[in-house]
Amino acid sequence: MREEELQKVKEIIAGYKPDQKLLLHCLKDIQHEVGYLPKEALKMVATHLGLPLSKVYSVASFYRALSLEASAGDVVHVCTGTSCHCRGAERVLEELKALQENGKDITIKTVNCMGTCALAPVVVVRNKYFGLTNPGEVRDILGRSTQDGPEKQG
Amino acid sequence: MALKSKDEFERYAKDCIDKRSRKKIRILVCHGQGCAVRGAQDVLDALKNEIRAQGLDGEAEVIPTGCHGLCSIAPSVIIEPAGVLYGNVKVEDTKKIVDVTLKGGGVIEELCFRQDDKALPYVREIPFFASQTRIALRNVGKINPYEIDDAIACGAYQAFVKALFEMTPEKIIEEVSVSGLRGRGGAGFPTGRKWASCRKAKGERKFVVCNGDEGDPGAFKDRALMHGDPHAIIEGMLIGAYAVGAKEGFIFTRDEYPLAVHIFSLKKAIEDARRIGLLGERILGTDFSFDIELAFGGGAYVCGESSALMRSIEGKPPEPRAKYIHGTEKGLFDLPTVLNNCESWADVPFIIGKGGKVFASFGTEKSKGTKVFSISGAVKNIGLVEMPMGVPLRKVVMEVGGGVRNGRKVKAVQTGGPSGGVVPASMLDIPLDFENLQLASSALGSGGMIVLDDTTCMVSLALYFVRFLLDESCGKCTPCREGLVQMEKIVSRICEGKGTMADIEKLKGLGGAMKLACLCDLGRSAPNPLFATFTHFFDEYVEHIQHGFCRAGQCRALCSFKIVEAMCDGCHECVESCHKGAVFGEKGKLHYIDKTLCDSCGDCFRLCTRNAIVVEKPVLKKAMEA
Repeated sequence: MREEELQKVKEIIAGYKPDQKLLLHCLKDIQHEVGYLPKEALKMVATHLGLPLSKVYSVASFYRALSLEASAGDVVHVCTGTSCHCRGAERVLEELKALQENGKDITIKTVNCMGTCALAPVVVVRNKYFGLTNPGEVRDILGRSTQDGPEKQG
Repeated sequence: MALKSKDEFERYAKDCIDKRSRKKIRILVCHGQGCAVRGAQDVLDALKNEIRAQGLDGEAEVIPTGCHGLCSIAPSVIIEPAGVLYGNVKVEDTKKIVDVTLKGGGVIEELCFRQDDKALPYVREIPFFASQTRIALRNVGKINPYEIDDAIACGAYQAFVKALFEMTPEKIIEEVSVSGLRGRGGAGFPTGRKWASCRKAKGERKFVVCNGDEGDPGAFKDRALMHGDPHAIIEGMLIGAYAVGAKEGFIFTRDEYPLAVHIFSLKKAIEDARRIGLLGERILGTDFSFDIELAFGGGAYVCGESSALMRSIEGKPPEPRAKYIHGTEKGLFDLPTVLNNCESWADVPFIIGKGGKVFASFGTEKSKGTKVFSISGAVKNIGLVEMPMGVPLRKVVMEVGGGVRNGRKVKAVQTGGPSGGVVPASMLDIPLDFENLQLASSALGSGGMIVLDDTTCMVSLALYFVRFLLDESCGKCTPCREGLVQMEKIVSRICEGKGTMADIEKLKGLGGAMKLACLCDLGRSAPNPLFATFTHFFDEYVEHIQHGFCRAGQCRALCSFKIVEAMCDGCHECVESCHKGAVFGEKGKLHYIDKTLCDSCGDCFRLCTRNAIVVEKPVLKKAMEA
């Protein structure tokens, strides 16, 4: 863990009362700020909340929103809900994986339904939603992800 | 300023009503997730600016609201009192809306919702809205969810005040029992009975919990409720807490996806309710104290199971408990707890305000009241509707949903998420309630309804759910953890064309064991989608196994595509979409697929709006071998 990350983690932990109920909140805050949960951070959380490291690890490794490894590049969320599945999300996912294998610096995360089924299949890059995507469009999306959100209509 | 008595509340409510009625015209801009991601905030800002610029602030106001329901025309705008609905509104359209509709009283046809090629400008004319009965969603899309005063002006907290000052806890529970309300999260347990056993249970502290985890893919009604009318949930929980004797409440919600509008809304609503003294110590001067905390999930489907959800709030891994431990006696922190779904909580104020009998007058004999459905998939109108229990599925798909897009046919409707099943097109006339869907090997679940057309392979859909559950299984009990691994292996084998008929028997045995031996309902219901496809679409399994053919064009190993000459108009879209460069043809002329290049991904097949690309039925080689 880098020095600035350590500093951030310390600040976050200091803001929490030592109560097991707050474990997930605390871990999510660290995940949000640092991008993942470094091993040292888990140890610090365990000490602060007065919990065995094993308990902290069992929660940290359970949830999809938490990650024990740093993610590379842009995080691309792909919705794999039923509507998206039926409208070709698997092909979108395949295409993204192919791009990743060809050296595109992205981390692919799947979400089991974002509840924006009118836009299925949905891909989210840097908090921008792209709806009604298809494999051919994925390349363009990664290129223009900094611009405005979904333009296509249902 | 906290309100200290019933009189003070009533005066406050009157002020709210006065405040709301000051502006003649209200422009409701949908701020729900579907609209928000398509630029609703920009439209809202532009409308506000335009109204200010034209000096209309005195008579018109623009407010953000919860989900209007029709997500397929997002962002949507409703102009009241005329009741004009505009869809797909862009910032450029806002000046015209102010000029034509606000000042001129006319309608802009190109922004109207269209059905059967006819523009329907008014909400009351559109079947999607006209066929609804709104109880849980009574204020969603009507009020500004970020302003408690607006909610109070529309009747929020009146039922709570009635319960607190005019009813005993026993009377409240009786009223809820009379209403026949059953859990809206899917289990369908009678709410009145749950409350009664929690009231009886002994414990120094008691809790009420709102389950807003909504993990079923294709369901988004809880989020719409939490965002569009958080006060209905808070009010329901207040009534429930008073009835069972709880002082603390939790609203549990998921926030695993980016841009979660409902969390902002909930936070604001709880703060506002505290500010005016509807949450906190000695509410409205009585001995009743109650407060609500927000709890968040971290992306785990199993959190939707009540005992797992309670463990998650406690800061433990969300693993379910055996069913013989009742949450009403040993729930959150091992203390008596009532846990209900968002929609159930939102129904409670209506039941107390209008009477259990009024609620029970909707619906069927055993499934009373209304139900919110999230409709998505292949239908034209995607969105959220509330209808009386027992409404025929056909009405929801054809009338409300507007039928299937691109001239395709309904093949089935998936209901109940990963614990549910599929209802085939031949059974579209079944009434939607707990009992009838169960009879059809499906489930009502939390009201998610995904309409499937003929491009969805039922074997592949079963595999999808098995994989979903495999991914989400918490791993605590062996039948679920290991059973799903084996199930996945066998079903994928069938999708790859390597299955045998003996595999079907294996799956039946495995699923049967899981139904008996899994610890929680999610595990016990895990084989449901698979079994439902066995019941209704066994032909497709036979085709996959014996004929090496996937009629829906989804299982790559089992399909090849061709272009039908009579249907192709040479629009060229398939050529542009093909990632293998396997489709050839000049624009405007007949196209063809080079099978030596094609990898059967099916992109062109799903894309073609002329239905010119079809799955080729293979020579029945496997059958001939046999």
